[in-house]
Amino acid sequence: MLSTISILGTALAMAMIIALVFVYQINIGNYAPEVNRDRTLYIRSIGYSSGNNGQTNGFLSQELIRKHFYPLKNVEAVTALTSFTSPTLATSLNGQRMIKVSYTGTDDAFWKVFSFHFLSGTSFTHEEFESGIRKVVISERIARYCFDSSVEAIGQTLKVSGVDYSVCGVVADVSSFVSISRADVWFPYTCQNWTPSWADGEMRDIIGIFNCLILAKSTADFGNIISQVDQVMVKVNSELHNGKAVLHDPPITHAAQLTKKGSAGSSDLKGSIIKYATTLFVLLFVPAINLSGLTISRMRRRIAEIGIRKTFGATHGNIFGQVLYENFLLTLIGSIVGIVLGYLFLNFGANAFLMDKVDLLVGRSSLVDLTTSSNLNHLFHAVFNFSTLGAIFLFCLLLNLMSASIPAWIAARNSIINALNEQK
Amino acid sequence: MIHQIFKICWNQKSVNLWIWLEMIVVSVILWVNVDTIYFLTSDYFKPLGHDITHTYRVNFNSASEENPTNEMTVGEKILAISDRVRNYKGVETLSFSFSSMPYSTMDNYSYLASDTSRVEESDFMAQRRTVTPDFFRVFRCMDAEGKTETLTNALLEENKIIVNSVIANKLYPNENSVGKKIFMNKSPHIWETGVSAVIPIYRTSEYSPINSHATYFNLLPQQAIAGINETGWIEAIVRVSPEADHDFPERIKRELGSALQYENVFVIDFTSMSEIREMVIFGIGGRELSQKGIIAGFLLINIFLGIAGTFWYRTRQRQNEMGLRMAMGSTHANLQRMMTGEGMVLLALATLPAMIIALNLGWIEFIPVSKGRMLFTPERFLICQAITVGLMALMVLVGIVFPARSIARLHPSDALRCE
Repeated sequence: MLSTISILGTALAMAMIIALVFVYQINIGNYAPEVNRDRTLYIRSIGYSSGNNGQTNGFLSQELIRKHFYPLKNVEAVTALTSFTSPTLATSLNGQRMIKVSYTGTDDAFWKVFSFHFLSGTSFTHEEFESGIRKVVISERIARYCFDSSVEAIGQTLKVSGVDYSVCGVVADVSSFVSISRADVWFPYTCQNWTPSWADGEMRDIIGIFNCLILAKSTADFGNIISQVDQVMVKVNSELHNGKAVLHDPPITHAAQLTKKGSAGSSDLKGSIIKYATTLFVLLFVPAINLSGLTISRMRRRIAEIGIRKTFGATHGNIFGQVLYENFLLTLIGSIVGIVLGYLFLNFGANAFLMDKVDLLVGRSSLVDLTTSSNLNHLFHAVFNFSTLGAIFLFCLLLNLMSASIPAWIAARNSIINALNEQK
Repeated sequence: MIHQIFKICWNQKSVNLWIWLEMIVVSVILWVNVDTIYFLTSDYFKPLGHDITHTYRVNFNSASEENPTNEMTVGEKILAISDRVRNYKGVETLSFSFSSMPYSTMDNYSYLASDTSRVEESDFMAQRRTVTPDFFRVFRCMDAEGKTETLTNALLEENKIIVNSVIANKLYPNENSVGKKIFMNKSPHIWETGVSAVIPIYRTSEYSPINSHATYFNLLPQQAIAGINETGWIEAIVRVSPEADHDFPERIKRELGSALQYENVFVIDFTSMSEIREMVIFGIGGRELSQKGIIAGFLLINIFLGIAGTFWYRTRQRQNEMGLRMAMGSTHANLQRMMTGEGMVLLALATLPAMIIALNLGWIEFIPVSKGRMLFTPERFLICQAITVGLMALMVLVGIVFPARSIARLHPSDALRCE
């Protein structure tokens, strides 16, 4: 009975750790289309302050990015993308098919920073981007609704927000776990003027509606990129006469930018880490006490048995080895049960732990639908693979062994008579 | 009997130590989760002050213009389209507002006080809702006598605001606040206004605590709407008559067609307020609720396993003692009760230190407490502690069931033979 309880305890701990690893992967890990999260730096918001009018905060302007961030050195790519959250209408076939879509205006570097799976056609090229051509890449869902298939969509006209575009590529639907790369349609931002009407004077060169993502060749280049951006801001400010521009954060990693509070807040990576570390500690500490206590109790019951085995000639090594073997077996069984439990939990309870945004107006809830196969594939492999599961298993094993070793060792060293005397 | 149980527990203290420690740790963590759940749900089923049945939000967007004529602003175009919607058969009323609709995820706050001397240091935060008079008709908001028209008229009074009863009770307790002055701190200026009416209840969602959600309404003038140049922030909401409310979004889009567009401003869709509620309610409270619930459940199962394990070991180890007791005249029921008693005593011994730790955590505001929401009161603490202890006791009882049953099958002679 104690063994059963030990197994259940291990299973529960295992399931919980799997859930946490899964959530971590979704938030921080690399998977399509955001396959380069670990090499990406984000510049998302900036403030412009001028004496009389206080400080205005917002996203970056097109001019700022094109003049100063595109030319950065030692980088693999720099991309700018619009930050819209409200959806708009897309119409096709002379207004007969209408659908709500979320849209992003971006450049050709976007397709280098993110890895999209093109079902047909391609993305727009650099020359096309520079010329402001009206081409659009659409998602499979839109292609199927508006044009019946992704192949037929190529070359057709799609009217988005009142402007006609020609469909140049169709990509597989984007997983609803990601946010910044997710949209239904993407077009070159050069085809329209995006300067907000409330920006005037010098502010137009600073504040706008864009996010800037920098793909480094490797994380070792981060320091260099950050200092380059520092120098860029110095140069920008030397050209301003009426005010000052200040980035809310230096270029920050993916994990850090997730902790930004609102579009104008600074990131709070440390606070988030503390919060999650505390939760993790709690979720691991309690099962750890449980397992240790149960194992010690189990070992205590066996002291008399160990005494008898010693009279029959068992050595310290024998006894110790047997203890280890038994606990290994129990942990193994517990882990397998835990993996199954973890899988079931992720299918039905994972929504609770994910950092997603709710798209109010798009009319589809972005609460995660794990049964959509495109979501499952990406992340299940990230979690349910041998190295990750193996690592978790080793952790549980270590826990079990540590709590078993102490009483086993003491028992093994006891003189035979004492052991025999110790009743059940 | 209890004295004897205490002795037994003390004798076995080396075994009991780890389960006692675990109980303390789990009690504290469980209490933190229970408290957060309580904080979120205590007022879930109380009245909201608004009725969202048969209401839809009109969602606008605009395309940037090739050749801006600059004749009409985006706001004026929105007003023009809205007039057409208002006149559509079945639409009863249409209102405009900013950050005010039920389940809105945006909010603006001001600090209020009842006289100038106190307003600078005031920490009494109230949510500002800027609306047109039709807003009260759309959401069927009422004053204390159940009338909507008092509110729509009061909103039009110049330089006055409508406050909810939280503000009225805080700034002018025990008197009628209508007509009294209110001072607002919106640095660097101090504004003076007065109360034109009191709306007893209005809260954003089921998760807004009813006794501390302070809010007031002021007028959204037509010029302000006409002056906007972005479509994302304005809340335009229609109330549709029950007879007309079937397939309303499809019908109005089909029948009005291009009338729902004015130059570069157009209507994307009509989203029902209950759909908006569904999408928002998870983010504003539902998610945290399920997170805490899952963690609490996880902890309780762990305690259950720990108790079951400890007491199972105990029945095995003390079989001879049990046999002796039975030989001396104890019944099976007695033994089971003694075992359960041991569990409860252990829990009681763990609850005391746990409560002290919890009290300290509440004091330093480790649990959710924020201005304008629920404070850390003795009532809240006691209720949550009671729930926590109750849950723990349940786990102890359930955990002891199987070991206790195994005692019932014990025959005294078998037990004594184990000696």
